[in-house]
Amino acid sequence: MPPQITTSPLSRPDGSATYTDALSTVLAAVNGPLEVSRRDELPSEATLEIHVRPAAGVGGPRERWLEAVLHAVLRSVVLVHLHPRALVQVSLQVVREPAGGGVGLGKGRGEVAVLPALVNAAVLALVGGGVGLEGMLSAVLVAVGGKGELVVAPGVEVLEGCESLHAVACAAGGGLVMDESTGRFDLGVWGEVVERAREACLAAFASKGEDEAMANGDVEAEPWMRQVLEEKVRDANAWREST
Amino acid sequence: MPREAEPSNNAKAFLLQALRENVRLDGRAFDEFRQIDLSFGDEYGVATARLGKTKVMVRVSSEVVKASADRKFDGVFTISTELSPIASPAFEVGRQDQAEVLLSRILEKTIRRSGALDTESLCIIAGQKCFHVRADVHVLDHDGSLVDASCLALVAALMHYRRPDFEVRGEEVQIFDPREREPIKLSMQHQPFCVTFGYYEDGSVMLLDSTLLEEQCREGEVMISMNRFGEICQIAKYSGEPVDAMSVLNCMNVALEKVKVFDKLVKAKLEEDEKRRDVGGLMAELSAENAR
Repeated sequence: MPPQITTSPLSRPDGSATYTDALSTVLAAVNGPLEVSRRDELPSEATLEIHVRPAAGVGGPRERWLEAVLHAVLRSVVLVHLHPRALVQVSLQVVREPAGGGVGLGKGRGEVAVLPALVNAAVLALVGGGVGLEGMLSAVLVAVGGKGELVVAPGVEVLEGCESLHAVACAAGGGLVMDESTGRFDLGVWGEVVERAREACLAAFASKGEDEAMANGDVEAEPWMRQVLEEKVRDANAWREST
Repeated sequence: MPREAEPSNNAKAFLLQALRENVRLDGRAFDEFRQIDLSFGDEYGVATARLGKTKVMVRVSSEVVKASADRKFDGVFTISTELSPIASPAFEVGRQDQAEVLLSRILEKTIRRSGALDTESLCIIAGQKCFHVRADVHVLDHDGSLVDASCLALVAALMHYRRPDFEVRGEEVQIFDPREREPIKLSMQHQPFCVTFGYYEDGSVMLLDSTLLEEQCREGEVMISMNRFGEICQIAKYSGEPVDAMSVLNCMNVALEKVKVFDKLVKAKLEEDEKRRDVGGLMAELSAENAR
């Protein structure tokens, strides 16, 4: 099932999006460019500020780690040099998490499992907020089951019994921008995982022509991200066409 | 961004002139609320309230903790209100804004200190184990009346939440997973709601459910919390121009009307949600209150 997305659910932020998949729901809001505090100001580029807020409780080391990972990922696509001495603020509110914050999933799994949703929500909100991006980006979760089978975008049942979990993000062009893994796996498995994940990521925003080529593989190749964004652009331009 | 942008002088003058002519900018009556929308999540204890554009999500969760030494027979109940830049870029992370202090104080007084939640029922073994119920208030969109919306969402979430069932055998405590035993509702003693009045023109104009622009132009506010029986939990008037005692009494009558509406709305929505969950009519049999 493709993920469900609402674009611009909020009125205050410049860009916002909710992203719901089988495991988690994340609400993202983007404000920018804003005035930056003197302490965080960078002379040649925009400061990228990421806040992750958990569904229950206050943020701790876990959220700081997620923020650090997201910062590196988003900085690779946001055109930070366009807005020197400014601030781009990305706030992410986790609304629903797999099995109550990953408590029943084993160490580290809950964090990795929520990462793709955070990345996808942030990217959609950035696009909605009109923040300049170098190119598209999408992320996917891949689970390796007990018999070595790969499951792209797994459900909770798969998560509980899997050997390892991998959160992978790819930019347009196929560049790997995020790779966070947990569990037991070897290099061969990891290579397979990255290949599968790359296909799935690129399929999310593949254009129609490429899409057919992708559909030959066994990956569920629905360009959900492209569909959502195309629809948004069409809505935004509706006034132009009606006059 | 350190603070909210002030409305322009023209915008302020326009709003005030309109109020003098008994008109609100969005065409509502002075004592009319915006469209109230309340929805519940798939999990127990997640409620989202919308007042016009204002949107607040509350999530109630619980865990088992050690009971505090000085309150042996009580569980713990905390409300956390942390405003994030999602609501408005003016809210900074890690720094308490005045709006945040106000919101948490009012919620604390309205719900915790009025004893809305029976904390004694959260005790498992006196002095040893108890439930810690925490309510996280997430303000998602800020367009005025934060306190009213948060209070509504919080009460709805508390009424919607179910804590896990447990069994005590001597010193042993077994907490049951929701799959093993149907979780139990929290015991609420009453349902207080908060109504905020903004006043203008030396208290001659009283507005209910102000939008952000109206909040920025007002001379002061009076916040009244009460339950549907008219029992007042708190009245707060922190700053602004003085108001007449008679008009505060008047506010209370109006607040009671509104609180009754809120109460009815929350109960109707809860019933609706319960019906949605009750697939095949098996809920009554699953209830932990039944004899075993």
